[in-house]
Amino acid sequence: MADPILQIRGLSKSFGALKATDAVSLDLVPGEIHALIGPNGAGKSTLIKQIVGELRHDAGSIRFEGQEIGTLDAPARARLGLARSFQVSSVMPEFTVLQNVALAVQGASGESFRFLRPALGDAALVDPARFHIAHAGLEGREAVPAADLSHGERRKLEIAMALALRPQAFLLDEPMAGMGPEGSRQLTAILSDLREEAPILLVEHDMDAVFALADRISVLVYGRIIATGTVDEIRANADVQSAYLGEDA
Amino acid sequence: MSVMLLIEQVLNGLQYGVMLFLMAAGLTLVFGVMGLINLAHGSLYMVGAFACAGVAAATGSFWLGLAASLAAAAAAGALVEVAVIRRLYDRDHLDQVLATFALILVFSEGTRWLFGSFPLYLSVPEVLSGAVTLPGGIEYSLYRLAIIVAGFAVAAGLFWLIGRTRLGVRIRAGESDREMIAALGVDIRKLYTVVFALGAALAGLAGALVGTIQSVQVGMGEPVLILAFVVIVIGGIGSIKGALVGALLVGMTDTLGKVLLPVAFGTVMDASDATAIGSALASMLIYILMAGVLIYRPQGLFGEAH
Amino acid sequence: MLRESWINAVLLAALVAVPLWALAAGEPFVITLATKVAIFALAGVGLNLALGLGGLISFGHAAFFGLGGYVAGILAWHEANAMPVTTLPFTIEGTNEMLAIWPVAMLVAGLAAALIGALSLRTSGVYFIMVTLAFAQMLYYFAISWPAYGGEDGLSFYVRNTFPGANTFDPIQFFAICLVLLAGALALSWAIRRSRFGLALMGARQNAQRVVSLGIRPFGIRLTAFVISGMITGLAGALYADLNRFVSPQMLSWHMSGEIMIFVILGGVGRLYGPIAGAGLFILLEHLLGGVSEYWQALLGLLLLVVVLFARGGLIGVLSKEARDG
Repeated sequence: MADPILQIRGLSKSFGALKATDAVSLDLVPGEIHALIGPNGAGKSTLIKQIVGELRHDAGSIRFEGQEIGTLDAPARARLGLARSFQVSSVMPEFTVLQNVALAVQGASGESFRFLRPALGDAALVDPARFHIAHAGLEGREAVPAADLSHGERRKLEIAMALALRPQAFLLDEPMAGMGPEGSRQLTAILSDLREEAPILLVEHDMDAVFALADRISVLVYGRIIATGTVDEIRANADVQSAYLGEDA
Repeated sequence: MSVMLLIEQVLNGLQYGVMLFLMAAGLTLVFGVMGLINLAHGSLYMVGAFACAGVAAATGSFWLGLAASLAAAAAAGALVEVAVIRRLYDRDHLDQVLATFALILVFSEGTRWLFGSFPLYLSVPEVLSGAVTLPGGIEYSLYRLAIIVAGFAVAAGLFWLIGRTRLGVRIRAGESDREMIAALGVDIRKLYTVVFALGAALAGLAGALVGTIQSVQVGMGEPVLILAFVVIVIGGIGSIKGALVGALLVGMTDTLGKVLLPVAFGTVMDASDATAIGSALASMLIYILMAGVLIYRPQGLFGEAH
Repeated sequence: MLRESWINAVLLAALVAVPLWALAAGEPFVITLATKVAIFALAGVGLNLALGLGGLISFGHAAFFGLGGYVAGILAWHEANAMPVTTLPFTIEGTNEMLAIWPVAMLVAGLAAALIGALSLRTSGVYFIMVTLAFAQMLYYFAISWPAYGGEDGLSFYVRNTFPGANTFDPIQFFAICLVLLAGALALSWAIRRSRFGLALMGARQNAQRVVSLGIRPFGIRLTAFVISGMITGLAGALYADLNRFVSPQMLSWHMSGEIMIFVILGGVGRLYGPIAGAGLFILLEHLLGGVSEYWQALLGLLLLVVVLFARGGLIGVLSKEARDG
């Protein structure tokens, strides 16, 4: 297997007596979609927050492209190419689609302290932004305020913004949440292509999507990873069935 | 500086802190339960002072005035809550700031119209006038001592109210989850009005008690309001305990700073310069204290981290 | 959008036309009122950068307004008394040149904004409001208790400061100076709201967590906006001191902070020309209502309540029937 882009070793985080993350180890290798599943309250969101730097971990290491990033703050990790989407659609509602994605390009390029030139007259921002908007399937919607987008379109806008960060890895937190069947199918196709850009750590409840997309699956229960393997291995795993799939299906 | 004088100033600081607590407790309660920042809290303080001064002048009884101050401030609070504040709970902080700033203008001008621009004076009731001799031979104003005692009694009452009564249970529930408490069948609108009126009454009480030490005039509420904000920033928002600790810290720092700083500067420079520089610096001391808390613990000493 | 730009054009035209009419009609007092509008609008343009674009509810902008005023007053007073401001560590002389006073006023206000901003921005929401209010109050008390420059009574400097090639005592010429500075500040804030910086600032107002995930640190963006905002308001303060040839702690008071906020709100938060509409309306009300009743501020309060509760887009919003733009 290729060298992992994201390598997590022994990551732990407690809130008082509660071990939200318990010695978690996880790899994300180039070209894969690695799904992270687990019952509600298993600590998936807490884990994502530690990886992106929103929460500080208590112990363990997070290496990204061979570099330890555990001490960097969230913006610094984002600029290294760790792109993240949110559980609940998270965009700038008053901005147009183009402004949203242009801001993402700007974040990646690292230069926000320019005061006089119009941002939307800046080809260095607008050209990549339009490219990513088209890539995410939102062509023709550039001038629409994000607040006026449909739910599915807003999900696509998030993908466009994640793409604009020119990521080395995507962390997608329940991208299918709240989507209808048609929207889920479209998004599944987009995500399947996306793994060519960069590997994806996918947190998702929609098992159809997970089984359709994932190259590998890790199962998180009570803050611990109880199994990692291919789709078939996970389906066959007895622990997983009793801890998770059993009670669900 | 003698030890006696120092002890006297410590007592003054306590008295000042207790006053600030009465202001800050209402503010922090209203913020904790309703999520509202109320700039007009200083106006309720003023209403209390004027009601006390007006009734005391008409009847000759400070105690009737004191009762009137509680009633008037609570009534003004309830009225304002029903007429205006209620519409602000779901608004952002900017709207809350502006609307309650507008209320200050209305209250101040209304009071000026009713009572005129000249300050009123309240005299200390007969029973509490004069001085007492404390252990160690310190002479101290009986009235100020009574304020300290009254303030701590109110603080104890508040802790009891919040911690031990049904109303307190509802208030605490309202802090954590509005929908939950509505689901429990509590009339949340009435609860909010009661909490607001309670905070108003505390402010009115503070106004009446201070009215005998300072003059009663339009605009007296806002400087105290801003100090109460400093108290809340130091103590942590929504915390009654934080309000008490913050208030005593601010009261002590301000009082002792004003006495000690000029003396301290006096040891290295001549007296008039020392007084000027010392008192100018002393006026900034509590804000420097606040800045220190912001650096050390931005959520306040007893606030919860976000 | 179209309708709002018409309203903006009318506002600007009125701000120019009224004093010109007053000049022809021999009404210097009206020119002074228009100058006051221009200066207050300038202060509002400053606050609007932080408040409208950045969502930073500063209730302490009187600090910068007052500091700008005191810089103008103190420099002019030292010049008039032929005394250097200080001789340590090096000599700083007083001056009555506006062109020298303005940069100092902006520098001092900007430094104060950097300090106050760096502390206040460690908090957010309702804390930010209380902390900015408190720091402004600190300067107010300092000005009152510091006797060297008049303390509570304030500081008069009888002669208006000078500007090369102009007679600043002529009301219309002083008005023109204020108007040009206002136009400059408007142009700057117009450019900023379209710039990369503006994009980041407005983005952080709408969704700070998202902006962080895009690799941008809101703190530095907000602090910079706060400093620019304070500098513009400080410049307005220096002009206001020159208008009155007098500074007092009143310029630093919480009431002043509230009024600067009113200029922004009455006009419409985040709208480029909002502060002109707001300041114009404020001065107009002061003189219309002030004639009706000496308690006019109560009426102002009621009006403000109505605007907040029922007309949230402010004057321009009501006139153009549009929600605020980003």
